[in-house]
Amino acid sequence: MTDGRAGAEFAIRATGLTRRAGGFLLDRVDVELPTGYVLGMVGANGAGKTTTIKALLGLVTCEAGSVGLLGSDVAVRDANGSDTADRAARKERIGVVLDQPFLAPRWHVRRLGRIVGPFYSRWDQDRFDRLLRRFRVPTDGRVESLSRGQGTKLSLALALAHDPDLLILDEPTSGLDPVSRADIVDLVREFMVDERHSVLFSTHITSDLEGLADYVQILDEGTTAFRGGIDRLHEEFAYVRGVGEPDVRSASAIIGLRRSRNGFEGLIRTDDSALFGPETEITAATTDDVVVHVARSHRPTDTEEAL
Amino acid sequence: MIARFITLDLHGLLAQPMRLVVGLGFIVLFSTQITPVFAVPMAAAFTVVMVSTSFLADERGRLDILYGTLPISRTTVVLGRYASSVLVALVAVGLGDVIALIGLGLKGDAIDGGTFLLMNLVAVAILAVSLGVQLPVFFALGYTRARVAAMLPALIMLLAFTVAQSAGVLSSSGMADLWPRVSAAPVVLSVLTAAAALAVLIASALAARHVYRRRQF
Amino acid sequence: MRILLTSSSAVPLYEQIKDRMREAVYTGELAAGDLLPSLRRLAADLRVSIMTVTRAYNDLAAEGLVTNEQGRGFIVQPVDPGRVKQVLDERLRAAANEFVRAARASRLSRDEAAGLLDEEWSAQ
Repeated sequence: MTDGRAGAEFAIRATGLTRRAGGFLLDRVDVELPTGYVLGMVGANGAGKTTTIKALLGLVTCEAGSVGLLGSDVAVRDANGSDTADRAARKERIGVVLDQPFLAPRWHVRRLGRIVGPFYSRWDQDRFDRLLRRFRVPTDGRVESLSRGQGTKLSLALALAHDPDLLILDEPTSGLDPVSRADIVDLVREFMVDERHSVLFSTHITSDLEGLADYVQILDEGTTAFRGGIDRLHEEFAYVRGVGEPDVRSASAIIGLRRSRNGFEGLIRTDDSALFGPETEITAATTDDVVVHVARSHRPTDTEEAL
Repeated sequence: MIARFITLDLHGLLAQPMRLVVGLGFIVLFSTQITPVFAVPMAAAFTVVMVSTSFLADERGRLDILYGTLPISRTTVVLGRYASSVLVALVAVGLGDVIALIGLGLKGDAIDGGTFLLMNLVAVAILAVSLGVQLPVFFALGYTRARVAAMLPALIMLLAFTVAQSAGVLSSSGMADLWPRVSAAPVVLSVLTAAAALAVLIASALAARHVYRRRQF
Repeated sequence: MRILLTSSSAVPLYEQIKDRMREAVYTGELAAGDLLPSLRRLAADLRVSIMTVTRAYNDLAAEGLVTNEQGRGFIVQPVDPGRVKQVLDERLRAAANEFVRAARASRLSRDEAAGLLDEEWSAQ
């Protein structure tokens, strides 16, 4: 009997996620995470990152779309249906951390293993204790006595203690000091040494992606603006700067055009660089450039005014 | 898995011992005012308060999300909550029986088996209605929005209590009058009450499952 | 094996990794039949994404410097001795060039420079 962990090609495979309810829009969002890699989902607050993650986990339902977790052989389920026993069982192998711990404030930290552990067949109490020690999370108080950073680390310890294959982290580093952020990123790196492991994390801090994300997905107002390998992002986009006004023909090629007193700048597709003459400067686009300008492209262009 | 959920639920309840103590004191106080046997249905009425405790804890800790990430289905959550609620309620009624017996013993009153049985049947009926009405509402709306609606069984019971008081049913003599009418078939009555209670709870659980599966977190 | 990466350099990280591995092979630090460091372990240690190391390793495999054996890893291939000599000669010349420039910048005489070289030779 196999332990059922071998040979899954995709850790996450979702197509066409669409949700209009409650004012949170998702419009045909696809998510793909090949097993053994890290997908960074980035976008402004309200872009749909949390909603996408909740849709993947079945915490919210979608009007349309399908989700497959941990294996191409998983019965791709209806994203607008509720829990089947099969999908619930798959959560044995998924660890989740959201922006705030989902634990009762009055629970004692020390007792959490006994409260949550019994639900998982691979719960390892020793590993949980070790992680708490490593993270310096105080174990003698209640959950409500922990700081934000400690709460996140506790959630991470809980998520890892049952030996998951897939980690889903929603803004795990937001609101944390640089040392705590580095601790968490290091833990994710260690987690990734095992080739059966995969990670999906969302952030609105673009620098979190550097040196960690293999794939990037940029969400903007509920739609996917870019999806692919992080290298491809830098190959596909470039940054243009020019003096004065852009000429009519090339202006439409600029994504998130930004005008100032001196001139203009914006993001372009590398393929369009031929539209710009020698009076403009074209440089490499950083991930941040892409995220910011793709977001701006949805808004009307504006001129910077004096404050 | 349901068993583990029950354990989780009980853990949360026991973490708030003050509510239990206050509830117990309330039962004792109230029952001594009328007649000790009244402790039994009082204990059942106590469930009105207890049910909301679990859902309050769920809301405060966003535990519905925890349940959503654990490898259990929403159906398991519903069944588990029903099971732990019924368990707590039965324990409360049992405690009520003990308090009643002690009270009667202290007062020197004779222990009338018939009245005792009647009180327990009333308690079971109160339980079934109280849980049956409240749980689906809480599962549908969550603690804050359901809290007001869940007061309905309490109001109904208060109304029934007032009516019964004015009709003289609640005095020892009143209850002694009532017993002959139902003593004809105590076993049948017990079985019917239990069956009705079960039917109410099953219907209620199906409704609760239906609404909880549609909740968005 | 020690690897040092500079994030601020104009050379992309995956190229730096390739350069370092090539250097290790040509200087004999990694012999034919040796395994390259575990891909995922290296990514974690160097704090780069797995794709970065994957790309570097795959490029080296395409060059013929290593082969990717399923289940075992990336195995160093024997290098043509003539090629090794050529690479080492190039490195030596570049180092000598650098040494002379540095000595000149410090205004050393040829004898002083030779003396410095002797010191360093005995020390290593």
